[in-house]
Amino acid sequence: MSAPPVSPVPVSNSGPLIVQSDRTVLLEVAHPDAEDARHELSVFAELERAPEHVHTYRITRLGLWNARAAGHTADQMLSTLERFAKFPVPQSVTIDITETVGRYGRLVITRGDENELLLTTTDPAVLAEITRSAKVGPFLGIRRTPTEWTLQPWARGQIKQELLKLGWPAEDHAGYTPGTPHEIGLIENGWALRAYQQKAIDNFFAGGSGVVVLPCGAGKTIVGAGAMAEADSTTLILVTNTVSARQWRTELLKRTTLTDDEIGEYSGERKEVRPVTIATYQILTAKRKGEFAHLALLDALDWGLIIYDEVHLLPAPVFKLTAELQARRRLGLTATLVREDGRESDVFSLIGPKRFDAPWKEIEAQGFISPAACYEVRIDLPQSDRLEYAASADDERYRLAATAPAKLQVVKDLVKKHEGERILVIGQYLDQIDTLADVLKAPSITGATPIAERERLYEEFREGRIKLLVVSKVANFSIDLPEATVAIQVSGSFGSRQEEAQRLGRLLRPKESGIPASFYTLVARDTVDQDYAQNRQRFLAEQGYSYTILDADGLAA
Amino acid sequence: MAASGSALALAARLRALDDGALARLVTQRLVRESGIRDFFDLAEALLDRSSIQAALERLDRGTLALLAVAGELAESAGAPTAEQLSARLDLPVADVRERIATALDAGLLGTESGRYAPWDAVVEQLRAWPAFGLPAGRDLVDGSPPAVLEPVSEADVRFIDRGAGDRAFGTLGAVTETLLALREAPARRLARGGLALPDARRLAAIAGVDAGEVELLLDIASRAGLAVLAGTEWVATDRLTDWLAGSRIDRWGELASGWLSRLPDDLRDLLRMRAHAVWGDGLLDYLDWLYPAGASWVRERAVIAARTAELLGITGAGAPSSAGARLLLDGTEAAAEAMAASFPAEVDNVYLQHDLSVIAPGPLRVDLETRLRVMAEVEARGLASSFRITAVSLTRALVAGETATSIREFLGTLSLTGIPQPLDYLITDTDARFGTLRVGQIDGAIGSYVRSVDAELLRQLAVDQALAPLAFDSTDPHRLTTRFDVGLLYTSLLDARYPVVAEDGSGRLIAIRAQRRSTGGGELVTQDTAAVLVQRVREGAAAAPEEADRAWLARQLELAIKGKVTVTVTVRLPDDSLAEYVLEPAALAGGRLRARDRRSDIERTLPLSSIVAVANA
Repeated sequence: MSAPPVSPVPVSNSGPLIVQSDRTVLLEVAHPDAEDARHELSVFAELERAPEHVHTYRITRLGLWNARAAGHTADQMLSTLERFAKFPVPQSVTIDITETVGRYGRLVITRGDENELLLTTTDPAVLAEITRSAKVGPFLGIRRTPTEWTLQPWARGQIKQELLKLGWPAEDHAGYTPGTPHEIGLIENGWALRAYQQKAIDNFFAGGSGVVVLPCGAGKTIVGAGAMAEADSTTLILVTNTVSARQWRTELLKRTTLTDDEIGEYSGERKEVRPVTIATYQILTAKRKGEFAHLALLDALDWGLIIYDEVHLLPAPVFKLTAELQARRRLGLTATLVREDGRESDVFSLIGPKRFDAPWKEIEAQGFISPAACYEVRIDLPQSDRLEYAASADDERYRLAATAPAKLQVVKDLVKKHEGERILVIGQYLDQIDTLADVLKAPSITGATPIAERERLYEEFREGRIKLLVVSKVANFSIDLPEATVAIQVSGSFGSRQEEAQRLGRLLRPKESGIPASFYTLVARDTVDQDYAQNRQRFLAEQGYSYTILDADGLAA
Repeated sequence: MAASGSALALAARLRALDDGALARLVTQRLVRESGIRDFFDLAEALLDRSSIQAALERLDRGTLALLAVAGELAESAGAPTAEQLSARLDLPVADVRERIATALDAGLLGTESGRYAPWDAVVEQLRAWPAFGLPAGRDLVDGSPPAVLEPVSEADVRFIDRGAGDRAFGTLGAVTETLLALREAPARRLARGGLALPDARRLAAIAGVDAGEVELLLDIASRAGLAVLAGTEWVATDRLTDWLAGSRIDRWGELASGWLSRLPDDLRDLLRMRAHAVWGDGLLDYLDWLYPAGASWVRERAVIAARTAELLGITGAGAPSSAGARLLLDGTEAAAEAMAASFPAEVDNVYLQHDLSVIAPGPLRVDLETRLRVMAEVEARGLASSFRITAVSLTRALVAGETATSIREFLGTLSLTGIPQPLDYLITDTDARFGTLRVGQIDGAIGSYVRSVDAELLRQLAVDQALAPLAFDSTDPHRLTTRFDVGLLYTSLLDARYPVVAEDGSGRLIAIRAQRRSTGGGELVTQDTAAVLVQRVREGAAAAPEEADRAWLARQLELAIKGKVTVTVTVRLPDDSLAEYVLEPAALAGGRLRARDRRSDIERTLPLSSIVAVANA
C-alpha cells in the first residue's frame, strides 16, 4: 500500500492578515492591502489594540452575531479572511465562524396576525432545545406548531437576553411603534452631515435598533440629531448627566429646527416632558421607597425614538427598564462597545447590535480629529525625597510620588513651552492643586467648586480669556470640560481604559486651530508612578498614539 | 512452591538487583512504602494477590500466554527453559526471551539456571481469571485478534491534512514553551498521579493550552526523550538544547517519531497495516483483546495515544493524516516532508512598537527567535508571535553577554520599522543602571550580600520598607548583608524596582531567575517513594555487613518457619568444613535454630552463627 499524494495545502499568499487559532487576527498596517482588509475585517471582528504597525482584532461570538445582524454571511467573512490572510486560516477558526454565525437568526421574533409576539424557527430541533430551558419557559406562551411558539407580550426583551446566553441569538423582526409624529429638520447652515455620519444614520434605519460606534469628537450628537430628523417623531434622549443634557439641548437648538419650547429637560432640577425630552440616567434610576420614582417618563409620550448616549456607561438598572421598551426604536451612541462590567451582551440584546463602526485613525485621517502626541516626563527625585519614599509604607508612597515637589518646576517649564495654547493641568490631591494654582497663577476647579463658578471658568477657557486651568481628577472626568491642546497630568493613577480614553478625549475634539494636541504625564522616577505610566504607555500606544519618554533635565534645556 | 517459598526466592532475587532496577520495579508495581522494612517485606508485598493482578493487567496477551504456559509446564514437568517455552508457544526463541524479560522486570517470574517459573501466587491468580470473566490460559495462547479499522476516503484526507497541519504547528509551539518552562523550574507530579495544580496552571498559561492538556504535552515531550519524570518532578532533559536548535519541521519529526517508538510493537504493526483507516472504536476493541485484563488503563493509554496523535497532526478526526501515514509506513523523514507542506513559511523580520511589544508576523527563524527570547518575554504565540521587551528582559540579555550596542544592532536589523523612541530610551536607561547593585552568596556562610559603588543607593535600600523583612546588616558603606539566600534577595530587589544583577564568588555576573513560587500554604513536597523504599531496604541489609548477613539469614529462616517450608541450610562445622542439611525449621530463638532434619528425621539445634546460607530445598 502506498501513501496517497500529499494534498495541496495553500501556502502563504502574502496578505496583510494573520489569523491565529486563538481567534485573534493581526493586521500589518503597512501592507498595501491593509486598508481594504481593515474595512472588511471590522465588520465582524472587534479592534482590540491599534499600535503603530500591527493591529489586533478579536473574533468573538458577539462580534460575529453583530455582523450577521448587519447582513453579512459567514461565507463573506471567511472569504475576507482567506483573501487577505498571509497564512492559511486555521481550520478550527473556519469551523467555528461557520458554526457560530449559523446560530444567528435560526430563531426569529415576529408578530402574528393578531399582533401577538411569536418566536419562530426554521429548525424545530433548536426550538425544542431552547424551550426546554427553565430560564426561557416563563417567557413562552403556547406551542402552536413545532416551529412556532407564542411569547408573553412583555417578554420581548428578556427572551432575547436569555436566548443570547443560550447561544441562539434571535432576530427581532417584530417592528416598532411609529410614535407620535413630530417634524424635526436639520439646519445645515455652514455645516453638513459628514459622509460617515449619514452612513451611520442610514445603517441604523435599515437595520433597526442598534448601536453606532464613533470616537469622541466624531460628532455623535450630530448623528443623534440626524436620526431624529429621519424619524420625525417624539424622541427621548437619555444622557449621563445634567451638563451633558444641556450640551445636547444647545446642539439640537443649533443644528435642528427644534425650538426652545419643544425640548424638555428631565433631571434632578427640572421635570419637563416635551416632544423632545432629554433625561439623565440618574433620574431614571432614582428610587423612592425602594421603587423607581420616574418610570412614568418612559410612557409619558408615545416616543418614536429613544437615544441612549454613552451606551458603555448605561447603568445596569436601565437595561432592565429597556427590556420593556422593545417596541420603541432605540439608538445607542458610544465611542466603545467595551464595558468595564462586561455587559456587552445586554447592549446587544436590549439596545441592539452594532450598526456602524468607524475606526479612529480613519476619522483622524479625514481631519476631523487632531492627532495627539503623548509624552512621559521622568523626574529624578532628590536624594532626601528618595530616602523618605523608601522609608514609607505603600499607601504613603503613592502620595509622595504623586506630589513630589520636583514636579512643580517641570510643570512650569511645560507651561512656558506651550505658552499661548489652552492648557489643562490635572492633579489628584487638593493641596497639590492649590499649590499648582498658586505657582502657576491660574484658577483651579475641583469637585467642590460651585457649578456657576465652574461654568464661568469653562466659558472663559473656551473663549480663550483664560489659557490655563488647574483641575482635579474629578473635574476632569466631567463631560463638560472644554477642549484643550495641552494636558499635563501631574498626578493620578492609571484608571480604567474607559477613564483614560475619556481623558484623552479632551484633547481630541476637532480643532479649529490645527495645533496638534500634546498629552504629558509627569512621573517620579523609580516610584509607583512609573508602574502607572507603564500601563498608560501600553494603553496609549495600543490606541495608536505616538509615545515618547523624556528626562525632565532635558526638557528645561 | 508455597507462598513464602516464593517470597524467599523473590527476596533473594530482589537483593541481587541494582538500585535502578529495584526502583523501576517498585515504581512499576506501585508498591507503597509503608510497612516495608526489608527485602522480605518487599517480596511479600509484590506477591500480594491484588498487586499481582494489577501487574497482570499491564501485560499484553503474549506475555500473559508465556506466564500461563510456564506455570502449566512448571507444575507438570518442572520449570521450563526458553527453548521449551518456544516450542510450546510456537514462537521464535528471541520473541520468547523478550517476553521473559518483560515478565521478569514485572517481578512475576522466577528464574534459576536458565529455567523459568512464575511465582505461585501468579499461577494461582491466572488460574482464577475465568471466574472474573477474564480469558483462561488456553484462550490466551490461542485466541485470534478481532478485525478492525475502516478505510479513509481520499477526500477526507485533504480535510484531515489541513487541520492536522494547524494542530501539529500549534502543538510544536506549545511543547517548546512547556519544555522551556520546565528548564526554568520543574513541575511536580502528585503521588496519586497528575500534575500539582499550580504547576499545571503555570505550564498551561505558558503553553497557551487548557490545564488538562499539559499532561499530554508532557507525554509527547517524554516520548521524544525531551522531558523525564525524575522522582516526583518533570524536568527537561539535556537533549532539549540540541532539539531547540533544529528547524521546526525537524523538531516536529522528533516528536512524531517519539510518539511512534513508544507504541507497543503489535499495535505499531497493526497501524502500519492500516495506515489509511479510521482508528476509532475498532482500535479500542483490538486493544481490549491485546490487553485482556487491562480494561481501564489500556483505554486510558489508548485515549492518550490517540489524543497526542491528534495534537501532533499524525491523525485528524481519528484517521491518519498524510504525514501520519508516511510516519507509519516510511518513517520520520518522509513524514516530516509531508508535514512541511502545511507548516507556514518562516519570517526573518519583526515589528517593534511604541508599547515595547515585538510582533513577528509569522514563525520567526529559529536562530533569530532564540536570540530575541534572551532580551524579550514571550507574550503570545501562534502563527505570529508577540514578545515584550522589559527592563528585566534587557538586564537578562546584558548578563548573558549582550551589550546595549549589540542589542540595538540586532533589533535594528530585525525590525522592519526601526527602533521606537521608548524602546531606545529603555535600552539606554537599563544599560546605564546595569550592575549598579550586585548581589551574591556570602562565601562559606549562610546569607547573601548586596554591594554597590553608590553608597546613597545602599542607604536607600537599608531604609526601604518593602525590603524591611530582609533585615539588612550594614557592614560597610558599600555593602549590606542579609541572612536570606541570594535568590530571595534578588527577587525582593527586583520587585522593589532596583537595578540588580547577581554575581558569583569571583564577581562574574550570573543569570538568576526571580523566585516567586509560593513556599507556604501549598502541599508538602512528597519524596520519591521508590527512592525512599530502595534506600530503606538497602539500609536494612547493609547497616553492618556481617550483622546484615546474619539478619538476612535469620529473616529467611523466620519466613521458612512461618510458611512451614523445607530449606537447605549450609552450616560451617567446627573443622571449617561445610555441611548441607535439608531442614524444616521450627523455631528461631536465643541465636539458635531448632529444625527437623528431613533426611535423618531428627530434630537439630544449630547456632545461627554457624549457618552460612539458606536456600529453597
